[in-house]
Amino acid sequence: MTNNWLNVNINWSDYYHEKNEDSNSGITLFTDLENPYSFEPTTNIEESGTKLIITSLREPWTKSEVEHLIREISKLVSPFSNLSFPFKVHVIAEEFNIDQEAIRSIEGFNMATASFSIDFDKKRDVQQSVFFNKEIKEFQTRDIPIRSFGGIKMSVYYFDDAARRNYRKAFPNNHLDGFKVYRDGIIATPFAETNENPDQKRDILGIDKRLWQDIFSRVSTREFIGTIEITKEGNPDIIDATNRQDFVDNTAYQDLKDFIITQLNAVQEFKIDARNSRKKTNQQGLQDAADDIDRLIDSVSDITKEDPSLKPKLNPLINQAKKTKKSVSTAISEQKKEAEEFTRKENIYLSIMSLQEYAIHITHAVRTTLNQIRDRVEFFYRYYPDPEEKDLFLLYAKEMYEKFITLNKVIDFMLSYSQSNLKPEEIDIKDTFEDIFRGYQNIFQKNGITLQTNFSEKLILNSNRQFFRDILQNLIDNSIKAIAGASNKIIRCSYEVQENNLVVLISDTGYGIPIENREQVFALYYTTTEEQGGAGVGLYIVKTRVESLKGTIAVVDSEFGETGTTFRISIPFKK
Amino acid sequence: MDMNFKIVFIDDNLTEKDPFVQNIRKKFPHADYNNIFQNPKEGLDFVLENLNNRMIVFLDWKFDVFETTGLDVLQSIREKTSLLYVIMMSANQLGSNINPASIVQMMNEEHFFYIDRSNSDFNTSVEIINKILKHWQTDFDCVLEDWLVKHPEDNTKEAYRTLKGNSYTWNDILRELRLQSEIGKSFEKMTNEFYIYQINRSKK
Repeated sequence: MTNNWLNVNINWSDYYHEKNEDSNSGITLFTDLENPYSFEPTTNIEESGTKLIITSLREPWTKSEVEHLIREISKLVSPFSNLSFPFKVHVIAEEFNIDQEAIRSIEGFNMATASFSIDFDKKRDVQQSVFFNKEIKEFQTRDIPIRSFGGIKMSVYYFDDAARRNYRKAFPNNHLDGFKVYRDGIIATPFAETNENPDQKRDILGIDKRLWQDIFSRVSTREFIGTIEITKEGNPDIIDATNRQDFVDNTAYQDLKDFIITQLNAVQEFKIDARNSRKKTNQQGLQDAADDIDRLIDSVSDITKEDPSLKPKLNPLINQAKKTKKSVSTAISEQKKEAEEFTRKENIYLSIMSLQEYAIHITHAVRTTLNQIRDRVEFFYRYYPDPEEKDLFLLYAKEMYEKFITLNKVIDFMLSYSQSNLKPEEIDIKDTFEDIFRGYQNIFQKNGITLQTNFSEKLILNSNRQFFRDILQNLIDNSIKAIAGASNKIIRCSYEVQENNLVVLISDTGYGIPIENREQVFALYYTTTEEQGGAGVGLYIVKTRVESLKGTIAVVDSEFGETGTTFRISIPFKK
Repeated sequence: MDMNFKIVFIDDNLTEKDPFVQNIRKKFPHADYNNIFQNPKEGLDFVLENLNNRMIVFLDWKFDVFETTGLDVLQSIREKTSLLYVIMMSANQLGSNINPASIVQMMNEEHFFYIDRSNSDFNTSVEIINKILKHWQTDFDCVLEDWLVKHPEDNTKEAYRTLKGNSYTWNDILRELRLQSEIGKSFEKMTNEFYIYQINRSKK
């Protein structure tokens, strides 16, 4: 007996029937039921397993439902984990000619345009975090301490349009559908409900925010497959929610989500870079074609010069080539126009986005001021002319007067915003900066923020005033949010001329940006200040505006040392 | 009705001279209204230290400079007592910037009101306070408090002794009631049952 496997065969339908046959011979308790069993000889008694066979279903299934089942089952096991035990599912549906293993093919991953994997080392307390290095056009990792959610492994496979088409051809039943989280190799969550419309699919990570997405190269869940590997032991704080649709929303999970988005932003950088390279290749291709035609015309002309008798035969060819050259030239200039148009549109979108953020800010300020005025008016209305309240009446009259002035200032500012255009003009940097900071006087005062500025040099630039305003405003707004919890609230802004660059430093004493997020903070919808109303648009606008001015922006070591954040902007100009 | 009670304002935009506060002063001359805190932490400390008083708390939903939110303060208060009346105030309409989960959380609170400061006038807060005053006429803790004000000699009399021998004066009981402690809650239940029993017996 010691060298035998026990093979127990449980037929659940027996239980179902027995329970219903209690009319004749009294009640059969389910514990009275006997399951047939046998002993089978084995060499490895330690080995055990379960085979679950489903033979009949209450409701008839359609073919697409069975296919959906296969698709979902294929996600049960991570394609990358080496389970110490095999996990196999075989689906047979004779009426639909289905007889297959429901396992996700690893080959699909080879079809990706780009991919990366990251790992961790618990002994050294190291977690890899990925970023896209634009210089060498490669994904690279940097080591960060293991975060609150524990060490994780992650692989991401990004598919561009062409790769996506190939993938769909090869795996018509297997969609690209973003991240899956596996715990010890088995899918943890989510079993999101099926939805025919991909736009309505839920995404626990909130990756798929569609607003502005196509314009700004956002990565959607339909463009990549990703696996996130966690373990019961290594990630105990990532807990399945009871509905199995999500995880318990705790700090560890919040951190995990942030971390995942950080990794995905590297893909976004890759995508933007690829788009730019493609644009350049296309432009170069057209230019090469134009040059080739020129050379063709020259060579043919040379031939006719050497042998004028060929002229009648070759002239039509030259004319044709000249016509083609004209078409190519038109195409080049059209393409240029289109690129300009694209940039123009992008700028308009950014203005709208900037304005959208700004509008929230302003409407709040206007509403607060209006409410304050209304309360004072109401007091007059209800109690005037109560002689006991004379002092209050006077005070309120004065305050209302002051609040109207504030209101007018706010509206002036709003109007100046809407009236400005996107054309370059002569701007005095010092005046512009001071002007913008003046708009924040009240907020700084109210929130106990100290402003330190150093705008020593007088500098006139032929640039875009609106862009400078967008840059500064968004950075200041960002600092105000970051600084909210700090005991010592300082915002510092300075600029100086270094060779042919205007270098601007903006710092705050807020909670700072972890080193692994220094590139990511500029990504669209990246936000750490959601609670304070941050939508993750501000720093994206800043970055694109700086780039529009041919400049660069980076998070550098904080001017305040251990605390806070410093942004360094460098914008080139000719003296 | 001679009702002495405290009104506490926890709002980073309010000062004593604010018309919202002054209106309440005029409408409720017996109220101790001058408890105004711009810092939510200080406001919360004050409230928790004065739980044995009859009190209404006006609480701002959002503080610009502090990380603490109105909901945080409400939660901290509720950890100590569910009896205290809290009126949440926001400059925004419900739903515009307050997420549904927070709304549900607030709705499920006892002794709770909400004021949309942008779309309501002075009367709204006055009506809410009047409503609370009416509740107070019958709330057990308030009835006891009234009694003790009128009969100061009863304050230190023993009201209850536990099986373990711990003794509680009427004043102690009032504090336990406001803190919603086990002793406070079971005393209230016991007293109510006792009077129902008494009234029924006297009818026989």
